[in-house]
Formats: sequence, C-alpha cells, structure tokens
Amino acid sequence: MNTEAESPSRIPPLKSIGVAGFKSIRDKQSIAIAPLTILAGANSSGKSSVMQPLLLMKQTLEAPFDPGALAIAGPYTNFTRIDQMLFRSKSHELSNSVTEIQVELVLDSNESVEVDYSVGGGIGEGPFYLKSQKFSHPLGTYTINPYVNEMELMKRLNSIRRFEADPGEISTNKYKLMFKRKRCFFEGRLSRASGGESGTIDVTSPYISNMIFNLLGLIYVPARRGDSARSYPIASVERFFPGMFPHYFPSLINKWIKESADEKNRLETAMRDLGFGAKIQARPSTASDVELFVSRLGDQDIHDGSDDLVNLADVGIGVAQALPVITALIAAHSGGIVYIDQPELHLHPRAQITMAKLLADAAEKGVRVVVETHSELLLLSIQTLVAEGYLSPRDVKLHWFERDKRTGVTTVASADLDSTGRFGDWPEDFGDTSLTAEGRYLDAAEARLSVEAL
Amino acid sequence: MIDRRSKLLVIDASVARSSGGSETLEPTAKACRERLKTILDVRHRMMMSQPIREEWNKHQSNYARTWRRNMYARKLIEIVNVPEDETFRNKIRLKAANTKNMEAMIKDCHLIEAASIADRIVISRDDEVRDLFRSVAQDFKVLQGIAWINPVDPAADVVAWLAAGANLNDRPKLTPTTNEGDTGQ
Repeated sequence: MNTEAESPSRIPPLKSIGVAGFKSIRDKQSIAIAPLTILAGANSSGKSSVMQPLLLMKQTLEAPFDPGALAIAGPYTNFTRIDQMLFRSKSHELSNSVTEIQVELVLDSNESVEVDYSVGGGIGEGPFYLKSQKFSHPLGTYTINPYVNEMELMKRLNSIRRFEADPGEISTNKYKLMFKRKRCFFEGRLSRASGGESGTIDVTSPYISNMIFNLLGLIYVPARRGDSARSYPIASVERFFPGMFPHYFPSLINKWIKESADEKNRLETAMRDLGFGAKIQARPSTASDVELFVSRLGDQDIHDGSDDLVNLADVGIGVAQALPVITALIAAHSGGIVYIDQPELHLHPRAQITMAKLLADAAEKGVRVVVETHSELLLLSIQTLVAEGYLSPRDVKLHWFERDKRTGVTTVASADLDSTGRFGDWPEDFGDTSLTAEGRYLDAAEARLSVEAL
Repeated sequence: MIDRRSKLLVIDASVARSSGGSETLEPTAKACRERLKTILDVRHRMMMSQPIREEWNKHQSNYARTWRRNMYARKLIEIVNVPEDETFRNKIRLKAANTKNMEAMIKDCHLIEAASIADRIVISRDDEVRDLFRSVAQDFKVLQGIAWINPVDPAADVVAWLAAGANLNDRPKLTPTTNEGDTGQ
C-alpha cells in the first residue's frame, strides 16, 4: 500500500466511529472522536465493542497474508467463532438474526465510509465477506455492492467525483467500472474500455487510502501491556506500529535516547511528573535485544549527580505499565489515534492526576487520544484541567456505555464539558458510586462508634 | 432540560457540616447524607451565593464535598450573585427582640435573600434561627413565603417530600398563624 508516502498533515483524521451488529451493540451506536475522548461505563458495558471493529480492520490490513474481508484473530482480537462477534440478545424480545457487522468511519473532511461485513464468506473468502460499502461525500453518496447497477453508479460517481468523463461516453459503454476487495475495503477503478492503464481512474481514492492511513496509524495500548522483562526484542520503529504497541516502546526509547533529545526530554519529564525515576537509559544486551534502565529514586539523582539506575524489571510494575502509555502519547502524530485501555492502571492516585495532564498534552498536540477508563480521579482531573483553562472543553468528549439489563443491548450517551468542566446530566456513575461508598462507610463506622460509646 | 420536579434549593452549611465529621455519633449525620443524596438523585438544584459558598467551605464534611462536586459536575449548582438586602436587614435589626436574636438572624439573612429569588425553600438544621425568623415573620412578607425545612425532622418525612418534587405548598412557611401587622417588605 502506498499510504506511507502520504503526507500525514494532509490526511483528514477520524472524527467519528459508528458500529452496529457487533457484540453487545445491536443498532448503530456512534461516538464522536475529539482530541481527548473518554469511554466510560461498567465492566462489560460495551466500551471496547465500539473500538474493536477498528482493530479488526487494522489487523486485516496489517496481516502478512490476505485473511479475507475481516481477520477475526490476530494481534488485537482472538475470536475463534463468528457467534462470538455478532450481536446476540439475552431476551426473546429481540431477534437474534443479526448477520452483519457494520462499521462507519467519518473523517474531519465529512467524507465517510460505511462498510457492511456479512457472515458466510464461503470457502476461500474468510468468515465474513464484504457485502457493501457506502461512501458519503459532501457532494453526495454512492454504494458499492455486488448487485449495483454499474451504469447508474458510474453516472453517480461522475457527478460526485467529476472525473471529467463525458456522460455521453459513460452511457455508450466507453467506460468500464471495476471493483475488487482489497482487504477490508472495496477499491474501484474506472477505465476506458479500450484504453490502457493510463486511462484508469481510482474512484475510491483518496477516501479509502485516507481510511487505511487512519487505521494503520492507530496506536493501541491494551490494558495488558506485557510483563516487565529484563530485555526486549528490538523492533523497527517507523511511522506505523503494526501489532501491539508495547512491542515497540523499548526500541522507541532507545531511538530517542540516541537521536532525539526532544522526545527523550519529554519522556523523562513525564516520568518525573508521574513520580518515577526521572532518568532512563537503553542498552543493547544482544544484537536483537535492548535493556531499559530507569533511575530508582525519583528525581533525587538529578540533584546529587549519581546515576542510580536499575533494570526496568526491578522497579515497580507501575513504571513498566505506564511507559508504553507515555511513549505512545509522545510517538503519536498529529491526527493519529492513540487508543489506551485504562491508562490509570497500577498508578498511585497522584500519578493518575498527572496522567490526565499527559493525555491533555497529547490532545493539545493534535493527537486523538481515546481512553477507556474506570478512574473517577482521571475524569475529575480532566474536568479540573478544563476548569483551570489548561484544556479546551471543545477538545473533550465523554461517552458513557450502558447495557440494558433485560436485552443486553449497549447504548451510548455522550456529553460535552463546559468551560467549568461540568458535564451535566451524563449518566456518569463514578461520582454516585464514590458518594454511596463514602456514605456506606460513614453509616457503618458511626453505627459502630455509637454502640461502643454506650 | 431541567426536570419540572427540580427545585432550586438553599441548603445551609449546617447540613453540610452535619453530614459527617465531628457529629459522627449522631444519627442526624446519616439522615443528612440521605437527604443530600436524594437531592442529587432527584436532580434538585442548589443555589450557591458567595456567603453560602464561604460557609460551606468552612464547614462541609468530606461527604458534603464529594456531594457538592457531583452536584456541580451535573450542573445542579447555580452560582448566583445575591446582593444583601439592606432594607430587609435594617428592618430585622429594628424588629429583633434583643441583640442576640438580631445577630443570629443577620448572620443567616443571606439564606432568606437567596431563597427569595430561588424556590423559597431553605434547608437548614438550625431550628433556633428558624424560630427567630418565624417570631418576626408577621412583619415580613418575604419570610412568610419561605419554607424552612429541617432535613432531619422525624415528623416531616423530608426524603419523601424531596423525592416527590419538594413542593413548596406541602410544607409550612415561616408564616405566623395570623397575618396581622403584615407591613410587607
């Protein structure tokens, strides 16, 4: 794919994602992607279900072979059966006849593509086949599917895309339209029936290449970020990071230490702000491995000049788990999505407050940071950064996921922050939960004190 | 959109103080927490003037702080500049039976001033000052329209009243039994 040659600054970033038919999501649920997008909700409420289809498409694009329209197992997902992926109702009230997964990607340029993956690809096609692909463009929409009227589509394409093909020539069959699946998308060419390669027009470009660029550029930092290791395999660090990002962070750090003082300084500043050792070193242990060393005693080493460095495996797990997050936020390009599952994991509450600022800093830089979180403190810290004027409320979107207890269907409620960090009547329950917990503790403690005082 | 049941309440810092902290041996703390939680759950709103805020900042328990933060995040706290009503205060100074009563009422005039431009409901644990206002209410039309609710009054079933929409007319006002001598205000 030629997407590597594209100038990143010209690629419109994703501004919303819609998903239907996938796991607990029945009807289409859409979420807007802001520079800082918060996904919250109880366990198994469907937070991941809205992002996983992107990971499915990403692993389909990154697969070293053509896995069909959707690679259901790979570095990001490990489905083994189709029924694990499709919506299934817990209730008899809803039909279980969902046989399609629909994904809609909308770019900042207001171009969108809605792709339907349907069950039953058949032998040689993979578990899903690409059923249809609908483009929406400010000038109009058109849909590609196996039953499309080619002539009508060509006319429509020509009116939208202005290929400068003479409508008369289209109607006299001088042009031929051909579509073929390229991994998880249709790509199409319009060519003169009698012409050579020079007469062809890629009718799905640049939309599809823009979508592919966004998907390949997505950085996913999962909740399980790997164990602390004594050494890490060296990985090639270029523009894209195929596979799990935690494979790359040691090599990125190694590269920054050698070549980029700016990134290294940002990394060390973030580490110091989080309360970790403020120095980091990378040393190749073999030709194919690198070891990471961090200072052990906070920023003390800066003052006394000593280098009290220890292997990353010998410090608390919080450091090893936070490093992939910090590294991803620094490495991401403007417009690129960094999707982080629970950035607060293993962090002391003070460090969670700092983590909110690191997320805000990346968002300010233009990165689209999508965060799944269970941390009330992280959310409160983001509200505080907005109220303090550090983060623009326009740069934050909150999405709350809930599942209907009877039917199991996920719905998403979204909210914006105002300039004081308030979100209004969003069904956020962190606060309710902590208030209830605080009240419950006080009730119990007071009751016991009352008995003891008698 | 604000629920029609939602009322704009004036909640005295005495409730915030009683919801935890030094009064932990009293059952009132639990009751106060329950009332505050009901206010949040029903989506009533709180009027926050400068003097109310100062009093809350001084006296609020940790529970009340968490409650206040939740109310604020849900846009249920309305920050309003409520100017002191000098006419009202001067009249209180004149009508108070003695200096002690006068000082007690002047200290809490800000609650009446705030409630009079909100939904005329004061939630406070201070029965003494309530009785003082009631004692002079015949001379103050503004007081006669105020419902002063002690949230832990066992006879008042405050939780049910709050849950049902905190209807002003379901609660006695500071109105004296007769309206004689009503000079307005």
